[in-house]
Parts: sequence; C-alpha cells; structure tokens
Amino acid sequence: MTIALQRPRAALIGAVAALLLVALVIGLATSRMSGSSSRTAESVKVVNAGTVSVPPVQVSQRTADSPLREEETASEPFTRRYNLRPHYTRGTLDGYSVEPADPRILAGSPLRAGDVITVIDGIKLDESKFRRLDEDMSGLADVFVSYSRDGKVSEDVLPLGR
Amino acid sequence: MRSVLKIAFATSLVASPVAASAETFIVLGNSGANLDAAVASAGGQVKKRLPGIDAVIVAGGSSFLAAAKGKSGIAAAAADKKIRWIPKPERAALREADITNPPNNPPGIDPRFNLQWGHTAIKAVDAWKMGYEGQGARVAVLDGGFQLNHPDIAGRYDPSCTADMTGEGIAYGPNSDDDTGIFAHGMHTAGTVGAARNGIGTIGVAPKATLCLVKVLFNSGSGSFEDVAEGIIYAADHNVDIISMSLGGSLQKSEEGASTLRQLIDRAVSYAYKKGALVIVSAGNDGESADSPKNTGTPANLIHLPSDSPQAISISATGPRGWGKDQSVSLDNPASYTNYGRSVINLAGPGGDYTPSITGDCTVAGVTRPCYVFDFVFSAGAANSYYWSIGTSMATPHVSGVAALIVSKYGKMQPAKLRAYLNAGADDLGASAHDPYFGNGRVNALRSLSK
Repeated sequence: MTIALQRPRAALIGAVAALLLVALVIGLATSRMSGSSSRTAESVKVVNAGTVSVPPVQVSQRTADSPLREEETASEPFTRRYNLRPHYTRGTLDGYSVEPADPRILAGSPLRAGDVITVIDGIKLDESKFRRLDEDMSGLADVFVSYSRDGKVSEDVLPLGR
Repeated sequence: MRSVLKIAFATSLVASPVAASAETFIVLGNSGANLDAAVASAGGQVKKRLPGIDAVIVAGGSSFLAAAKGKSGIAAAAADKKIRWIPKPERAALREADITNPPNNPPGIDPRFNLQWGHTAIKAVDAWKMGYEGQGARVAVLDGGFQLNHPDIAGRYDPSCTADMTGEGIAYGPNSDDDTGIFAHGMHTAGTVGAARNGIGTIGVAPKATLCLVKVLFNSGSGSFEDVAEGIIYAADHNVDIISMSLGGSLQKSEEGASTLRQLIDRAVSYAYKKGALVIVSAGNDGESADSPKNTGTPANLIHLPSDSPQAISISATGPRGWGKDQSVSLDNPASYTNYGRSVINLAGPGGDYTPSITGDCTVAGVTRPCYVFDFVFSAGAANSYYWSIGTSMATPHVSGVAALIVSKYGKMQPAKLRAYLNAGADDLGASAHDPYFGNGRVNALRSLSK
C-alpha cells in the first residue's frame, strides 16, 4: 500500500521541477531579447510618457569622465545653464544663486555653486532683468558679473563659451 | 557771403549694390585651413589675407564661386558687394557770416562749445571736472575720409594707427554726395569723440583720447564689405580700446551671399572683441522697430551690419526739440528717425533731430540760424569747417567718447567690463529696465565714472 502512495508524490515533485526549469529558460530568453541588464543601470534610458500636463522627461547620464561639449553649454539658455535661483536676504531679493545640476558647467569660471550674482553686465539682477536675461546673454562671448560669496562681493568676467 | 543751408533726406539703407564686384570674392575658411590651395584649385587668386579671421579676399572669374563650393577648407564664399553705409542725412554748414556776435567764452571753453548740447545731455563736463578727459584711451573711428590737418583734429590722432583701407586716399574731398567738400562724415564723428580743447571750434567728449582714424568707406559714403572688415581688424591690431563705427548696411537674408558677408563682419567684430576692443555701432536711421517692424524690413528678412553682430553694442539716437529757442527743453526725446527695439538697442546717445514745425530764426552763442538747426549735432567738417548733422551716426561717437572717459579713469579693461560700466552709468529713461528706444539707457559720463 505504501508503495502505491509514493508514486504520485514523486510525479508531482518532478512536474513542479520541470515547470520551474521551463520558467527559468523563458526568463533568460526574454532577458537576452530586451538587451537590458541590471549591471548597466547607468546607461538605461528612462522615458516617461508623461501626462497631458507634464511633458515627457528623458534622463540619461554621462559617464564620469565625459567632457561637456562647448556647443552644448553655449547654446543652452543662460538661466538654465547656471540654474539660477532667486536669493533673498532678510526677505528681500538681492540676486540669483548659481546652482548648476552639473558642476562641470563652472569649470574655468570664476563662479562656484552657491555664489549669488547681484549685478550682471552692469545692471542689477532683479526680477525685471532676470526676465530678459536669456535674451540679453544670447550671443555674448562673456559678461561682467558682481557676485557674493560667503558675504564677500567680488567682480569678474564670466566666459560664456562663444 | 550768403549762408548756405544744405538739406537732404535720410535714405533707407536697404540698398541694392551700387556696383556689385563680380571679380572680388570673400572666402571664409574653416579654422586653420589652407585657403591658398583651395582658392587656387577653384581658379582664384588670393589678393589679400585676413589671417585673424581665417578669411581671404580673392580675385576670380565668374565660375569661381561654383568651383569653390565644396572645396576642402572653405566654409563659405560670396562675391563682395559695395553698398551705401552712410545715409545722406539732414545737415547744415556753419559759415562765418552766420556768426553775428563773436561770443564771449570763459577761458578753456572753445568758442563753438556752447552749440554742443550733447555734452550737457551726457554730463561730459562733469567728467572733465573730475579730471578725466579720455587720456590714455585709444579710440578708432572707422568712417569715410578725414582732413588730418583740421585745427581741431591735427595732433589728436596717432599716425601709426591711421590708415586708408579703400585706396581712395585718406583725405576727404568733394564727391558725388557733397560738392562742397565740407560735409565729411568721418570728421564729424571723430570730432565728437575727440576734438581738441584748444580755444578753436568745438570740444570732443574725450578731448584727450588718442584717435585712430581709419578710412573704410569712400568719401561718398559707399564701400565694400572687404574694406569694412579689414578696417575693423586693422584697428583691433593697433591696441585700441574702442572701435566707433557710425555706419551700417542692410541686406536681405535671402540675398545672394548675405550669409557669407554677415559671417565676415561677425568674425571681424568678434576678433576685435577678443583683442580687447569694445565695438560701438550706430543702429540706423530707418525709423524701424526690430521688435515689430513694418514694410519689408522684418527681422526674419533683414540683416543690419555691423550692429547685428553679437559682440557689437548698438546705439540709438536722442535729441531736443526747440533747443534753439529754449535751452531748458528736454534733450532726451527719442529721435524721429532712429531705429529701435528691445531686441537690438543697447544704449542711446545724442544724435539730434529735425523738427520742421519749429519755425523762425534763433541766435545761440552768437550764431544765427533757422531755429530747428540747433537741434542737430554740431561738430567738425572738412575744409577747416564745422557743420550740423543728425543721425545715429552722431549718437555713436558720444557713446564712444564716454567709453573713452571710463578708460581714462579705470584704465584699460576687457570690453565686457567697459560695456558694464556704460550700462551701469546710463540713465534708465523710458520704460524701466530695457526700453525699446533707450535700451539700457542714455549714457551718462558722470554716473559711469562714479561707479
């Protein structure tokens, strides 16, 4: 009687094992077809189709040693290139801080991240000037800036890569 | 002697070539390219080199352009054009018979200085009182011909940076535009920048600045792109702080060769900027808005050179109405003819205006003229004379003179910094921030020197 009961259990175990093997094979085959691998996550392009009100975002990352191309930076609008953010002192706007997403933007520049540009091209950098800034900087080879760093005001010519 | 009043109306600068040169070509090279080989293989001959901007001037036949297309090393090529760069504006000569009572002037003030309302507008005298009259600054004036021994110009220029690019000879003389030989546009602009304080005639905005007089246009006011570009490079190579260009030419973008000619001027202006010269240019007298243009002069279709060059600063004109009758009137009305637009105007300067509704005769500083004439800008002419004229051509040397005053106080500086000083000192007239007529403002020497 015992021998008759053992035969069905063994068959069940064998069937499960076979199923697992098939699943593994299918998984490996799918992975090869898509070409993606968790070991190269930094090269994955994430494309978000977005919603109606949110534009699609494409994110890609350079490797650490790839240089910024001059033509890429020079053509980018000034405010976006330096990621300017309004800066307030005692509740009053006194300039715009430099907060570039990629610190390589500031290579060769007199500016450092966190500096607050207070005057640009001889004009106080207030909201009115900020609104015109991309247009005014467009095409310029360089611009004279006054900036504040750690409470100290300095001036220098900022190359714009053109 | 009867006084002579010459009136002419400003003409549009959107001109078809006076005489297109089918045999002279502008060839722009890629950086470091061997243009000699490329030009020769296309059947051309290099006449002149502009190495600082990777360009050559070529003599060639009608098949040259087609043969040059696609040659390795050649970025662009086009036939040079001769166009009119200086309009024929309103102008009036000063003759001895117009001076009814010799004016009593305090010492140190030249007898015709009191006709120069522009200095009041830009606070030039306040800068002089601070001790700054342009000493140490070098200003190149690129224009038509000059009279080098004029009493207000002789001794004010440096012969080693004074030259003729046109082949006509540097001297101004009677021509198709002016049979009197008086209305020398180059003398008027150079005089506004730096006429001597010598007890004679007028005083320039920067009477101690060193002038470099560079003739890039024929006496008639027309010229080639080759000569203008060469003049810019020449001035830049002679260590000038400022290049003052009261000239402008317009091309339709769709016009054959327009892109190449634009690149030529842009390269020359950029070269000068990198060499340390701030290039200051007149915006033009078409009364057109670059922001909302009318007729055919749309930004999409029209290029205005050299004021459209990215590193050049473009100057509009301001002026009084009725100054001859009342010297307290505003000096800062946007001139009726000035080009304007937030997208193109950087700064404004005194260029004068013509208001024919102002009638009668006026006497100012012992000089009697129809009243409207005193709203023009008074400066040197040729034949040892002086005359009145209007235009953004007159506004530009006022701004160049203020730039020279800034250099005389703060020393030689990068053009970006000089531009910033001009902007910082300008009076923000009109709409706040960037006005379509005044740009960043009408220049103010006192404020720029107080920064």
